Amino acid sequence: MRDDFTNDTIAAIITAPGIGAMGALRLSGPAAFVAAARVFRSKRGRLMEELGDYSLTYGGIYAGDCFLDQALLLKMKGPHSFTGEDVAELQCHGGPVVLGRLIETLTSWPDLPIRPAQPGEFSQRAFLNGKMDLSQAEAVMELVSASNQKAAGLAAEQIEGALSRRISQIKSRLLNLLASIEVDVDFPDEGLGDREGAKGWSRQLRQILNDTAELLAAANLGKIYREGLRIVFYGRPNAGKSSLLNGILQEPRAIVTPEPGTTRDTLEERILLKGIPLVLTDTAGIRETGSQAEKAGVDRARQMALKADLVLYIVDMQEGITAEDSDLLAELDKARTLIVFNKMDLIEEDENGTMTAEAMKEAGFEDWQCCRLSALDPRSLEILAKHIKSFFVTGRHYRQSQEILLNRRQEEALLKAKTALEAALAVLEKGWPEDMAAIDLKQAWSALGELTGETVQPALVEEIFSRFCLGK
Amino acid sequence: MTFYAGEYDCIVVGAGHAGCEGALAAARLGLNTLMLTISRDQIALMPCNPSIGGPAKGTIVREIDALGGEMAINADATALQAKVLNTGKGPAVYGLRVQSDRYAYQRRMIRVLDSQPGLLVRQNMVVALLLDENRRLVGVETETGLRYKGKTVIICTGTYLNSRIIRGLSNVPGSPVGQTAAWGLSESLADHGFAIRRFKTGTPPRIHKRSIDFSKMSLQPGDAEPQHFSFAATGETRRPLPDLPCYLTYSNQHTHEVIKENLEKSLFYTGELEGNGPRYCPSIENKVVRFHDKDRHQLFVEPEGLDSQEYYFQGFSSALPEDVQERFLQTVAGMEKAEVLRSGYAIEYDAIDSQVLTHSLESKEVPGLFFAGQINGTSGYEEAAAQGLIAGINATLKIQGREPFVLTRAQAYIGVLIDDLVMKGITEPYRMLTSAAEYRLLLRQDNADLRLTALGYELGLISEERYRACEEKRASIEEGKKILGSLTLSPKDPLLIALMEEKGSAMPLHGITLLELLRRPEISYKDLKRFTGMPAYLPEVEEQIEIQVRYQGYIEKQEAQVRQFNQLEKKRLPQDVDYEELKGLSLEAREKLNRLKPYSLGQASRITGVTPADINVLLLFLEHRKGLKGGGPE
Repeated sequence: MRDDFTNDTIAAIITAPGIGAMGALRLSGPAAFVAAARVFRSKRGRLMEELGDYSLTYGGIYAGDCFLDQALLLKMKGPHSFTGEDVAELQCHGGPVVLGRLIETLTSWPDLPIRPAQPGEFSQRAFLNGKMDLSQAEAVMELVSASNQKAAGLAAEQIEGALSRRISQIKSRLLNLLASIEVDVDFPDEGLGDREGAKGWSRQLRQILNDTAELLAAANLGKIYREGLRIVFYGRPNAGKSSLLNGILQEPRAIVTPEPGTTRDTLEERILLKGIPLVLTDTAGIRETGSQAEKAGVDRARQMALKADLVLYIVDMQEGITAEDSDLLAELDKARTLIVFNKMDLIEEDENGTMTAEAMKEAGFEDWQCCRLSALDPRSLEILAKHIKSFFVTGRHYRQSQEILLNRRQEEALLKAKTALEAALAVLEKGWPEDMAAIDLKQAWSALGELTGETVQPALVEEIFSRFCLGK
Repeated sequence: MTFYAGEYDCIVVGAGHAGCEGALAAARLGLNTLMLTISRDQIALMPCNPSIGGPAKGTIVREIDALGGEMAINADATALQAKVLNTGKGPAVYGLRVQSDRYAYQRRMIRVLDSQPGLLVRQNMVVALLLDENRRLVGVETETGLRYKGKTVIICTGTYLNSRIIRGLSNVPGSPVGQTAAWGLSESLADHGFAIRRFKTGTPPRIHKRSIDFSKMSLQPGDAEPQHFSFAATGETRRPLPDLPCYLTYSNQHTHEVIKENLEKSLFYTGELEGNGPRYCPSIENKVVRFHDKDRHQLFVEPEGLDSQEYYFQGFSSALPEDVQERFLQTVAGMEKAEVLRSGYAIEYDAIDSQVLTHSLESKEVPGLFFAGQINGTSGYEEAAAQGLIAGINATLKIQGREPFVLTRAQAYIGVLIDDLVMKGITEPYRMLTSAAEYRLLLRQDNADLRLTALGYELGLISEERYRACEEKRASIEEGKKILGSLTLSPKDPLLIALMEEKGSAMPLHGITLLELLRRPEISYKDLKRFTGMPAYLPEVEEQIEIQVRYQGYIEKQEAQVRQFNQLEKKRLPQDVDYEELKGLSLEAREKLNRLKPYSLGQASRITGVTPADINVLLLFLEHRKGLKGGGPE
C-alpha cells in the first residue's frame, strides 16, 4: 500500500501573522524544490537544479506570470535539513497579502499537490526522520513560546540535548544497579552478585537519587525562567499590599481603599524586573473574618504563600509586628520570605533602622531579611527591585550551576522517577526482598524513558506536536 | 506410486524433552501420533545437568504442569532432593529445583509414552522432510527409506542435527551419547528454504564417586520440607526423598593458571571455531577469561542417580583436551584424586532461525510444520519441554481448524519465551531468566495453577477434577482474605501484645485487622493462627493468602504495568503494510518489520533493532490510517 503522510510535500507561512518587516514561507517534502521552482525565478536566471544544495539565492516570486515580490530562496537538501527532507524557504517582504497569494498558488496545482502544513508538522517530520528526540521536539516548542531571553537560551540548550544527556547519565547508573540485582536473582549458583549485597545497592541508589533530585532542583530554576518567579504579597489587612503591587506595576490594577479587607481574592500580574520574569500575586489580608467570600480568599492566600518562591510579608509599620503577624510569619519559610516594613513615611525612623530592628528582635525574627519603604514613595519600587534581585542572585535558586528547562509533563515524569527510586531505597534499607526494589527501579527507568521518548507512550506523540503553532 | 509406511495426524521427530511433551499433548488431545527417535534408549535424556528447575525454569515446569504437561510429575516422581533457591529475594524469583535420578526420569517417561493410547514411539532416524511441489507438507522419510505421511510434523531434534563434539583440538561428528549425530535432515530443511545456523553448548566431566573427597567440600542438603512441582496430587510424588546430597567446592588460582596456560589448546581460542555459545552457561575457561578478577568460582558436585556412581561437576563445563581437563580438575579441593568417567566437551549443532515461526511455533512458510526445543535456539530441558507442549497443542488445534493457543507475556513465562524467540530473535542459546519477564511478580511459580489451569482444562489437557480443585483453591483464597479483613484486634489484646513483642513488630495504636497485620513482613499466616476466628486452610491456600496480602502493593504496581503493556498490545498492525513505504522508519526497522510482520505494536516494539522512535512512527501511521478509513483496526 502507499502511504502519503511522510511522502507528501507541505507548505506553511512561518512568520507571525500580520504586517512585519519580513515574511517567510517553508516547503518541506520531496516536491519542495520543484514547487519552489514554479514560484521563484532567480535574478540571474539560474535554474533550481543549478543552485547549490545549501544556498541562498536572490530573485522574485510569481503567481503564474504575475510578479508578487522580491524574495530570497533558501534551499536545503535532505537529509541535512531541519525536517530531514528537502526544504525550501522563501523570504520576502512581510504582509499577509503576498504570503497569502503565495500559499494559495502553491496549493493550487492538480499535477503537483502541495498541502498546507498542520501545526507542528515540520517538527513532527523532523522527529519522525530521527532529527530530534522527544525532549528536543518539546524544546523547540518551548523556544518558540519563550517569553524571555534566558528561557530561550535554556530551550536552545535542550535542543542540543542537554536534558537527554543528563537523563542518560542517570539511566546508565540505574541500569548498572538493576543488572547487579538481576544477576543475583537469576544466577544464584554462580556467586556473581554484588558481594556487598543490599548495602552496596543502597549506596549506589542513594547516588542515583541524589542526581535525580539535583536535576529536579535545576529544573525548578528553569521553571522560574519559563514561568516566572512566583512572588506573593502577603500580610494582615490594610498593610498596603495592593498599593505596593500597583507601585511596582506603575498602574492601579488592584483596588485600593483605606478599608481593611478590600482585596478578597488573589490577583496575578506578570512583569519583567531587571531581566527576571516575575509573577506577582496580591492576596487578601489575613484576619479572622465572618464573610464567607473573604474567608475563602484568606484560605487561598495562605496556600499561595506556602507555594511561593518568595513571600513579601508586608507589615504596617504604624502598628509594628503584631501578635497576628508573628503567627503568620511563623508559618513561612525564612529563606523564602522578605519582611517589608511599609508606611515608613508615617513614622519617625533613624538611618540605622533602629525601630524596625527592635521590632524584629522583640518578635523573634531578628535574623530574617527585611526592607523599609513607603508604598506611595516612587523610590520604594527601586528598593524592592534591589531586594528581589538580590534574593534571586544569592538565594538557593541561583546556586544551581546548571539549569534545565522542564515542562510540566517532563517534571511529572522526573518526580515519578524520584518517587520510585525512594520506594526502592526504602525496600533495600528495610531488608525487604530485592525483587520489590527491582520493580520500583524498573518503574523509575520507565519514567526516565518518558523524558527522552525511549518509553513509548501512545497518546503522547500526537499530543506534543498538536501543541505546536503553525509553521514549526 | 510412492509407498507410505503409515499416515498420522502428527509426527514428532525426536524424543527429548520437547518431543515427549509434544507427542503426549497431541496424543492426549486425540491425534493419531507417531514419534520417531534415533534411539529408544535415549528418550527424555538429560545429557547435561541432572536437575530440573531453578529460578524461571522452575516456574516454567509448573506452568507446563498447569497446562497438563508431564515434566513436573515426572520430575517429582524421580527426585533425589529438592530445594527452593532465592528464598528471601521475593516470591517472584523463588526457584524450586530438584536433583533428578536421570535414569529413573527416563524410565518413567518411556513408560508414560508407551502407555499413552494413540501414540507410537518408534526407533528410526528421520533424514528428510517431505513437501509436495507446492511446498505443502507431506511427511517425513527415515534413514531406512520408510516414508510417513503426516498432517502435522513437529521437529524437536535438540542438539543432534549434524552435531560435532569438540575437545581440545579434536572436532568430530557425534552426539551427547556417542557416535550418533543426526544427518540428512538439516540438508533437507535447508533445501526447503530454512536457514541453518550453528549453536554450541557444553558439559562438564562426570567423576567417579569413590574418587571424590567429600570431606573437603561443604554439604548441600535439600530442603527439610521439600516442595514438589506438580499441583496435582498424583500419589507418584516421591516421598520421602532419598535426599542424596550435593556438595560445594571452589576453583582456585592454581586451577585458573592451568587453564590459562592451555587456552591455545582449545579450538574456540585458536579462533578456528566460533559457534554461538550460551553466555549464561559459560565453560570454566570462559569464566576464567571473562571474570579474570575473580579468584575462585563456585562448583557443585551433584549425584546422577540412586544406582549411579557418576557425579556431575556443575560449573566446570570445558572443551579443553582431556589431559588438561584432568590436570586442572585435580587442583580443586576434594578432586585431587578424581577419576573421570566421562570428560567434558563442547557440542556444536544445527538450529533454525526461530523468527521464521509464528507464536504457535508453526512455520510461516510451511503450514502444519512445527519446531520446538533446542532446534529453535533455546537451551535447557524446561524451555524445550514448554515449546514441545505448545507445539503439540497447536498441531491439534490446526487439525481441528481452531485458533492457535498463544500465551502472552503477561500470562506466563512460556509466553515470554516464545515471544522472545519469534519476535525478538536470538543470536545465542536462549536460557529463560526471570529478568526476561517484565511482570514476574504476577508470573510466580506459586500461582501457575491459578493462572493456567482453566486454560489447560479448556484445551482438554486438565481433568475436570483438577480444574475443580483449582477453582476451589481460588475461592478459599478469596474467602480467607475476606475473613482476615473482617477480624479486628484491639491494641489491648494480650495475644496481640505478646505477638508484637515476640516479632519485634511495632505496637498498633488503634484497632488492626488481621489482614493489615499480615502485610507486615515479619508476620506470617502461621503467626496469626493464635487468634480466634482465624480460618485454617490447606498449606498452599495459606501460602497464597500470605503472598497476595503481603505483596499486594507491588502486585498492584505490576498490574498497572500490564494495563500499560496492553495498550500497545491491543494496537493491531495490519498485515498488508509494506513498511518500505514508511520512510520515517529506520532501514533496519523497515527490513525487520517486513520480514516478521508483527500483529501488534507491542510485538513490534520488542523486535531487536526497532527503536522507540520507530514505534512512534508506527503510532502516527496507525492514527493516520485510522483517519483515512474512518476508525481503523483497533
